[in-house]
Amino acid sequence: MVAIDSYIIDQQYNALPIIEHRVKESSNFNTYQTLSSTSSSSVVMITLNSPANTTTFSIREYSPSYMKLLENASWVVSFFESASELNSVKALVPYYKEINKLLNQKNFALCDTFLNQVQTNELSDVLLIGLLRLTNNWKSDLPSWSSLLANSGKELERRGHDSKALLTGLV
Amino acid sequence: MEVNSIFDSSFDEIDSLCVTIGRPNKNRNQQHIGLLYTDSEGETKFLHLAWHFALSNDKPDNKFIWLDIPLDPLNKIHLASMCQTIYESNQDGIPYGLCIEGTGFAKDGTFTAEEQYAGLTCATFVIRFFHSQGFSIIDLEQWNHLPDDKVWQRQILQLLEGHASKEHIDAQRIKIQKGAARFKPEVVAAAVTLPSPPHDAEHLTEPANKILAEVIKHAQKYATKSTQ
Repeated sequence: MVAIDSYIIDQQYNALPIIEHRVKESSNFNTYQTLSSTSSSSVVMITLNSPANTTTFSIREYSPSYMKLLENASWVVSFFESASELNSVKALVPYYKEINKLLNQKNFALCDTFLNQVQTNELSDVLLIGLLRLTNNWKSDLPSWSSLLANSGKELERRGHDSKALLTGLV
Repeated sequence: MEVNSIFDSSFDEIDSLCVTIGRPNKNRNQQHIGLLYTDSEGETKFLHLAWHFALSNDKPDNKFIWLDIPLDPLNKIHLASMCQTIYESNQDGIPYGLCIEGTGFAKDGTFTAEEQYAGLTCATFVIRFFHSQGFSIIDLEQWNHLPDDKVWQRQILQLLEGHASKEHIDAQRIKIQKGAARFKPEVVAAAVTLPSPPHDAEHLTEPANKILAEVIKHAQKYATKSTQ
């Protein structure tokens, strides 16, 4: 892995290059907040966390739609960080409620961005099923749902599960 | 089909989610159905549509038996999470209605109705819960209403008097006249506990009768033990 300590990033995120990074999502979000609150300069130097204290391995496209998701649903930061450990009712319900809020508000674009940014190798076994079931009724409004289904199926198989049985009713 | 009760098991032993059915009043030939699940605090809760706008999330009822659901642990945890989500998303309750058509849960767990006076029974609440999550336990398309259904529906309508608005009751009456299929609690319990859904009425008759016999046996035993 290449060690990355800092990036020079244009403050205008619509001009951002696609950044592949291996840092905690909270660091990335903090970076974005720093960018947002620094209005006087167009270029800022941001220190990202070092590989030494990195615990998650994310490669996300920092697109304008993802930035909008972070602005409107900051819970996704902690979700992406802890997604691999969300395997109990206690852990799942708070996030289910947040996803519900997006759907209740018919904010399908944001919800779709969320699904699009989900990396199935980071999801707990329950979430590989749960995210799809939670959003199944809205799949016609969520273009990313189908690819999430395909990727979840592959990931379940990779982990040794019977994806056809676990995703029954969805495939 | 393994039947559990307080006489041979404990509510603490349920595996995230199961279906529970009982005869709350031993003098009435009326069953009630709901779901037992493990909530976020690790406690077993009894989620059921008790009555008009009375969605309850209670402690388990000793008068009820419970049956395991043939699902993997992962889906059970998801469904248990949905039980809590549905309860918390419907704090205003869910209307009681005699016709399942036009009702459902959005994926966010909120009850939805295509028409103003649609609602659910305790049994159709369980059906809609599973269908909303992609588990079609009953083939609704092939389910016909029977002449006997109207007898029970008219009794329920009488009980609903005073608990629901005149408009709501009138709407139910029209649905009964048109012919609304009834889903008995024991039939739904059978549909939930049998593998290879969706099930039709013919396939469910025998297992439903077995469950009903267990419910009656438990009610009698519970009544006897309670008076000792």
